[in-house]
Amino acid sequence: MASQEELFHNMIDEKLPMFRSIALRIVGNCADADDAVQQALISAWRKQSTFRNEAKFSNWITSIVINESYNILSKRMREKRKISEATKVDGHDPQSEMLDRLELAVAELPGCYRETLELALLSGHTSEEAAEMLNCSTNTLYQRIHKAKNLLRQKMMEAGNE
Amino acid sequence: MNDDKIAVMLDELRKLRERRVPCGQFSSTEDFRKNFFSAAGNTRPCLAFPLWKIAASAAAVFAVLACLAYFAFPDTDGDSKCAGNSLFYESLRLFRKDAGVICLNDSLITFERSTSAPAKYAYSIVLRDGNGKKLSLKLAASDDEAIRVDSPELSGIILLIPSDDSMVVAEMELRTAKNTLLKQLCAVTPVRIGSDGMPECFN
Repeated sequence: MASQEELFHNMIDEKLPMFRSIALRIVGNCADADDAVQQALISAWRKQSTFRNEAKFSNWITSIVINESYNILSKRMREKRKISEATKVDGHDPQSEMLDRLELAVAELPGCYRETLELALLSGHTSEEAAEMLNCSTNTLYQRIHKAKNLLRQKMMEAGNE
Repeated sequence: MNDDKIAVMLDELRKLRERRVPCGQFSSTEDFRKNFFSAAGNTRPCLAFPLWKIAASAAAVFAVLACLAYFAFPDTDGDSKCAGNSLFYESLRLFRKDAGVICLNDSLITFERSTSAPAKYAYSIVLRDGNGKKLSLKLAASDDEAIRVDSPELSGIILLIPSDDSMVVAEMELRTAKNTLLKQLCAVTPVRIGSDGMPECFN
């Protein structure tokens, strides 16, 4: 257990700013970002024995941070939608609504495609950095991006966006 | 909607995120650390191989062993060799020369043997009725004999056919007083009966 604690102490010292930055870009506020990182680290703590050494430990936690952040984001967006439906507030910017739907569609993608889009297209990392963080080749990354875009297009069309 | 439009929208989303001014402030690293370890202390690390999987594996192994035991050791002969059924052996000692002896559970049944030679072997067989209820049948005969039983407690036929050096095949079609049909084909191990009328394992 001591070594596990040590590992997490080091992880917090070295990677907390990066995890927070990734989470913040997704959820948009510091409190939710901290919650996402906290939750991700707790999941990693609990499931550490299932971690396979094929990937770097920090990359594994990055994936969990992204997933937790999107969970929080989609929860917030559902709440927002409920409130706007209840108060019948209209007059949102259509462009902003479209981007909201896009974010929700990204949140609903299968984990690996969501992480790929986030790291390769939305977080401002280079393809090489994203590929390294996802523990795959750049070729695989491009294939995943392509597939993710297809899935997104389907989801957006299902949601009524032509 | 095509791929280009999706690409454009994703790019817009990226720009929007860059423009977005984060609201709130992060807690200090030390506060974060404190909160994390306090929350982590209340949670238990998962086992790589969870307990339910261990329990399921143990149950599966147990089931396989039970099946193997059932087929490898059918309870036809189970505890026959030295099972002390005093009624049976006492009856055997007394009547063996004149009649055949069968014990069905605690009931003694005699039958007329087709040969005058004394029974050389004792057999212990566990029968099951239609409801799966076990009945213990003990009898004395040779290793190659057709036995016809005709008594109120038990009637029918028992055929004993030598199988190899150590086993005898018993084929039975019997009916009890309650009209329960007992039909069974099984291999049993004969226990040699000594000149004193007692099975060898008793000597």
